[in-house]
Amino acid sequence: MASIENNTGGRKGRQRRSVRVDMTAMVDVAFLLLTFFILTTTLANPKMMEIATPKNSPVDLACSKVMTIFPGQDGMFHHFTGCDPESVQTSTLNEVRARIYQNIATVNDLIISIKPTENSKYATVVNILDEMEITGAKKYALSEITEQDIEFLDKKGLK
Amino acid sequence: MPKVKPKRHVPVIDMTAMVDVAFLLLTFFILTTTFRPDEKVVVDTPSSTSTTEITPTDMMTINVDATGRCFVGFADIPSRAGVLDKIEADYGFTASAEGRQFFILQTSVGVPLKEIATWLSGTKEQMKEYEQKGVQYPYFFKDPADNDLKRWILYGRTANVRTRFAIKGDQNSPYPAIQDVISTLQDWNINKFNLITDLEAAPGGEGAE
Repeated sequence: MASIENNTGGRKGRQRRSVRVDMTAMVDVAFLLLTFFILTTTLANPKMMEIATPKNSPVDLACSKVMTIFPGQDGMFHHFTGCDPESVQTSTLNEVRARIYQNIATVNDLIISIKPTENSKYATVVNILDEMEITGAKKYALSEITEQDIEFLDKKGLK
Repeated sequence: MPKVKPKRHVPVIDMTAMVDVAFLLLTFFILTTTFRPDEKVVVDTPSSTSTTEITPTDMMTINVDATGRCFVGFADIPSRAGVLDKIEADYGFTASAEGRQFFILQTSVGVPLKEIATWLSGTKEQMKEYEQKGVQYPYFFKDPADNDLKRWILYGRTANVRTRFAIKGDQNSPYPAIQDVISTLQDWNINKFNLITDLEAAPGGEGAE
């Protein structure tokens, strides 16, 4: 481990010794452990988002203030604003966000109703709930899809 | 006359500073690391921009994996012990000391309530290898009388009144499964709960005014 360097030059009869410890092996071990811990550490802890769901009592809403979003298959969203379901559009998350911003600006007391379909993946629903946070939409509800809605989407061939 | 020997140089690098830095970093990572507990169910959570930290105690987590299998977990050990007491009282058995110890160490459980007595009566190896089919709830088991999840929630709340509820779903979990979990929570009038997500960066201001 320790290499002793003899320095026999210079004055006669006297020896100067400098003791050096070879630290290579120690460094090896230290870096090995360091690499292990760096690779196994996850610095990003999971977070949580809080949601409140409405009680199971039907609320009468003025449909002119409601934007309805159906999170569908493959991360796409079907949505319409106001009383006319026929104006339903299918868009990506970014387009929906733009539409929400637009609605917040034009509709007073906008209410967003999120109705996941049978085919929605959980991630899609979380994405749209997250949009509520991002856009700052004040009133939104995560509700169960109704028979009527299912029929309507079927008729339109939307999944 | 003596021969002139060529001088041999052994290059020596002073590694002290490097060792200092390496050990400093090593100490940091050792101290900050917490090892992930052994999870019975693999859940890859979706991401959101939410930055609320998870509270480490008083939390009941309902895990739903990509196929819709459901596992429940209690964050702290006193809650787990309390929950086991309730199960013992309701299903008329007393777990062995070993069984109780094993149950208390589980971060999540997916054994149907009816089978808990059988599960905890085995040896440690048997308990570990026991096939956990998932907690019964409407998505898998249509009979409403068999809604084990509803009972688990009750046990969690009565064992620890401060218990809050979190749903940890997989990105690919079918939404109807999550809907059934939410409806079960609502059956107990629990309308406020949390969704566990990974952190993602908030999008830029496109579309914003």
